[in-house]
Amino acid sequence: MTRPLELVGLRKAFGSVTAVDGVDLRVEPSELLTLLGPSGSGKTTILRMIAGFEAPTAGRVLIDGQDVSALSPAERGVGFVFQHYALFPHMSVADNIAYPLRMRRVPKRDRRARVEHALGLVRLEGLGDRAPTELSGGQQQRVAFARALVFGPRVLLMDEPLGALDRALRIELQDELRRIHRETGVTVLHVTHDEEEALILSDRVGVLRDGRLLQEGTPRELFERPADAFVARFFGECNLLEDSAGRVLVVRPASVGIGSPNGAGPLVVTIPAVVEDVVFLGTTVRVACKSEGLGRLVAEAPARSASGIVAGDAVTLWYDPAEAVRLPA
Amino acid sequence: MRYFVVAVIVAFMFAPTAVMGVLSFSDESSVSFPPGDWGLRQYREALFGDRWMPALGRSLVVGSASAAIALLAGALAVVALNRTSIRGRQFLQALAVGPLLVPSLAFAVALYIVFARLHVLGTAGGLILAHSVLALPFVVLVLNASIARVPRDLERAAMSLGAGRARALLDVTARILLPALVAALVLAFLTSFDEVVVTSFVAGIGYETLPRAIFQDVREGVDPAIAAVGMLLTAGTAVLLAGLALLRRRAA
Repeated sequence: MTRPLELVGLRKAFGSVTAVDGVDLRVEPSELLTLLGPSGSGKTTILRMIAGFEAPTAGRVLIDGQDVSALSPAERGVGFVFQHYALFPHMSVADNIAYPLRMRRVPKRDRRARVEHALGLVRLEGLGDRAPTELSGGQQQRVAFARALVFGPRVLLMDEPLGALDRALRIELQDELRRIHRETGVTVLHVTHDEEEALILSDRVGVLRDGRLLQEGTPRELFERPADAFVARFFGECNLLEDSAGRVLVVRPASVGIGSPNGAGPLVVTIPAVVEDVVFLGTTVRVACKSEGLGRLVAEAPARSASGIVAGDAVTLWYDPAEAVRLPA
Repeated sequence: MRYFVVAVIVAFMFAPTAVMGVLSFSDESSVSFPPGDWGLRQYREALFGDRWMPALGRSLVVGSASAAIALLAGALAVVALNRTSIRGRQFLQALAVGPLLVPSLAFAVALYIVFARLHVLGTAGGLILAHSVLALPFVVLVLNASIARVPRDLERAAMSLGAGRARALLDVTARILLPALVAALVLAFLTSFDEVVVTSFVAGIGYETLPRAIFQDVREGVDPAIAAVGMLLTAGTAVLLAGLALLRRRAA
């Protein structure tokens, strides 16, 4: 079966620095796959190689089963959404969206209809005559989506598309993106460093580090069965502890209790510790502690039950190993 | 006190032009200040005599041609320096701006020797080539500064949307840089239009431009029509620069 997008042993070296170090990846039809990684992990470079802005040092990019190495960006038929929108400032919103249609010599009348349809898809009806600079950041990014989708790309690539927006807008656009993805059924490869965004948007997530794909799977798989400490840490704060067999346990702060472990399972582990810092988070309180021998431990407790705790208190922390994630050795 | 200083400086800067303005309306056949008779005789001589307009025509030809060449070469150089992974970027950039650092007299002498061998002394082509080199640094400096403000992602966006590389550059980058391109063209033109040292060496009497004609004239005994020529040039330059300022404001 041919997939809309497949990467085979993709590698990119800039001089002596290897930015992408042998990435294999398959994106299924209509799937939204996110590459998640910190800055410098090579995620943007991967997108650029797929789009044809950079030539791979080794490996292949297959789009619909076809090796596109010899094709220019224009010939690849791939949509690209940039972090900073990259709208053409000298063109109206409608002209921006019509640009890929003009390049494809779509007749003027059809062009109009398709631009209208694309504006409707991103809920910007009636704003076609505006200049991009007259729109808010969120609206500009919607225009960028419309422009990247209007010509029916084989794959849509998104490079931190919500990275330049403030939090409220980001959440709004995440919902919009899910809806647009549902309505168009377009295959999407998305990169971000924001694990929350990855969890919310993605069918599957691949975690990148230093140009290597560490693990891929559904958000639930990555959260519940991280392959290593790096992946575990990426999906939220965690305490890394060792069990009696010397294996590493990932214990989420929410799984760490404070006080006496009344009614918990028989295998519960208790740890004496001293509170170093207490941060009020609204519904919960984040309590950073230090324990003799185990070092720093973080517990997140319901705000009501932890109301009396202050820095300097001696407390007992506990966790149930049954709730912890055991990393593969 | 502050206003006094400003007034003195302004007066100092504009006094020569003012004197020239007064002289240009003299109706006498030799220079005397203030003029005894007033009239448009000097402007008639400047515009319809057989000395000044042909020289101006040559200056316009050389200025336009060398500005066009400098703009084309400079724009391509700037694209190569900023939008490709060309080797020796620093060196090439220094090379492009280099003519600015070479004293024009040294450049003129060197060029004289080379042009003599090539038998292009006193020709329009030789002079155009020389002026293109002199104007190139200005084009490169202006465009380098401007292209740095145009995100590369705009070109990438255009390419991902179906534009070839050249098309993306023209549709997006060049279009956004249009004010800078015009500014570079005007600067290049003025560089040539004003140039007298190199022109004296490589063009001489064979192809006499306006600055060179004025220079020559002053040496031989002053034709009062020079004042009218000067006023016309000043007016023309002012219009050009005002237009440029207007363009910049619209672009901002």
